[in-house]
Amino acid sequence: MDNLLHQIDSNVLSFILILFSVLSFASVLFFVWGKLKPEANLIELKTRCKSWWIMSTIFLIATVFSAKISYVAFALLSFVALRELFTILKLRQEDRSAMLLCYLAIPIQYFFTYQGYLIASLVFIPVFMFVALPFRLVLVGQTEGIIQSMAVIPATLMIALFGLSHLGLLLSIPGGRELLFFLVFIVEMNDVFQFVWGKLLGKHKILPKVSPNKTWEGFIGGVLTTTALGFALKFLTPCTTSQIIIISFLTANAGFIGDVIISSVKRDLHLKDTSTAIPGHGGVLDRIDSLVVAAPVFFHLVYFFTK
Amino acid sequence: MRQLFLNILYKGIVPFILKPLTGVKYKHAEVLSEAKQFIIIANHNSHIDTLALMSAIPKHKIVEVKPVAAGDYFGTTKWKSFITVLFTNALLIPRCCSLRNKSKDPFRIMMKALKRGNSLIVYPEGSRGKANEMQEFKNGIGHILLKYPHIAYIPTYIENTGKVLPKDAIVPIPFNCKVVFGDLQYCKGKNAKEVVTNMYHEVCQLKAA
Repeated sequence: MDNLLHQIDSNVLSFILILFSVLSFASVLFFVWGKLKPEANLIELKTRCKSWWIMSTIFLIATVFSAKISYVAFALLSFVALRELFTILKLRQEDRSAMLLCYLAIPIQYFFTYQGYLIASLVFIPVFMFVALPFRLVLVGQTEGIIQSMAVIPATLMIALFGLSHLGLLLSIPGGRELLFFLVFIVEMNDVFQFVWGKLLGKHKILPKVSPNKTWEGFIGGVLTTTALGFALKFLTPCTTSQIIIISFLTANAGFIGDVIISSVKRDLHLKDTSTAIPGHGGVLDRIDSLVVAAPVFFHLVYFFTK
Repeated sequence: MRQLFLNILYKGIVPFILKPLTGVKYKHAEVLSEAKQFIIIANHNSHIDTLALMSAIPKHKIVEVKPVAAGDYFGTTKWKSFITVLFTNALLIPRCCSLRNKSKDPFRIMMKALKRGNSLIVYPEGSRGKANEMQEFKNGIGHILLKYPHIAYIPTYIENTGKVLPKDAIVPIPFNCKVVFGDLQYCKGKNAKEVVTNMYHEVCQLKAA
């Protein structure tokens, strides 16, 4: 118990309090709203809120107690995301061996991040796997449709593994756990803010062909609110005020980009969600789409400013 | 004893392997508790199919459920058939019928099991096809249902297992899989061909849903 309390310092405790206040606020809001206006259809929002409670709890269990648990949890998250992508993408049967290589790359990449081998973590996928995967396809020998597979499989690995593994990289630098909390919280809240501003004020569609529900009002409102939130949570990071504003602003934008990239992939495949893993949210990838693009951006900005 | 063994296997050990490989999601699995005796009619793409279906069967029924398997494939040696029956509770039937030898008549073997009160898992395609492509259903099950019209069957569609472990593959690769159960159905049609055609369409409907 003593050891446990030692692990949880005051910054972490404040973060946990903030997180649970936000969740409780949302739950109470939907409850009261439902009582006042029984005709409003809140089932979807309530399911989503419940899933947020579960995801937040899992996230805290995976990050608060020990870094080792966190790396295993991130690896599992990458595994599920990769499986989801391979399921929806239409790849050939000849690509199976390359897909197996992708799955095997997960433990290797997280081993590098766990050991804090910065350069190895950064080059393993974009340099080594980028060559290994096409070569594996060449060894299979089926050249019909090989161009598509050579392009799609490394890209899949970049999304499911490379982007997410930056969560692990963050943990490997001093003060990493607080930075991880900061990143995940502002990116997920950015999604929520974009949704809320879009619902409240949304008029002008931003990408009508990709995401008909996304508006300029939602995008701008979301990014500005997220930047303000980042400023308020400055105590979790070693950065100065101007740095944290730049970081939060750019991370929020990156989150939006990740979101619309996965949206357009789904649109091309005529899917609404990537799977049905999380009630109210869709697939795991639907939830972490903003994170996979925002995590590298955030990591390198923090690294640049604090080194 | 047998029940305990199968439950430990299919509620404990198999899901441990099945979950990461397939992340299998069952839809409308309640239907399995609705009838005492049933025949599950499913499409067939992989050995995973039987594992996924057996894991979905309610605990107290698992001994009663027998996947019908090809004796000429799983029963080529005594050792092979012993292992198959031990671990999957299978009912081995020869696919090429020798109607003269009564003990080897596939219809007799299946009807005997139904008379004993067993439920069956039947893959009317006869063998594993390509992933997510359905082959034509064979007529055999139609003949049996015409003789036992009071036994319900459950059309079932299994998705993506053929990608996890296709026919010629040795190493399984993870994909998300889905098992969709339909409502209880009873034999419809005048002859075996009609019964089986109806069945085929019911499974296709689940695929589209």
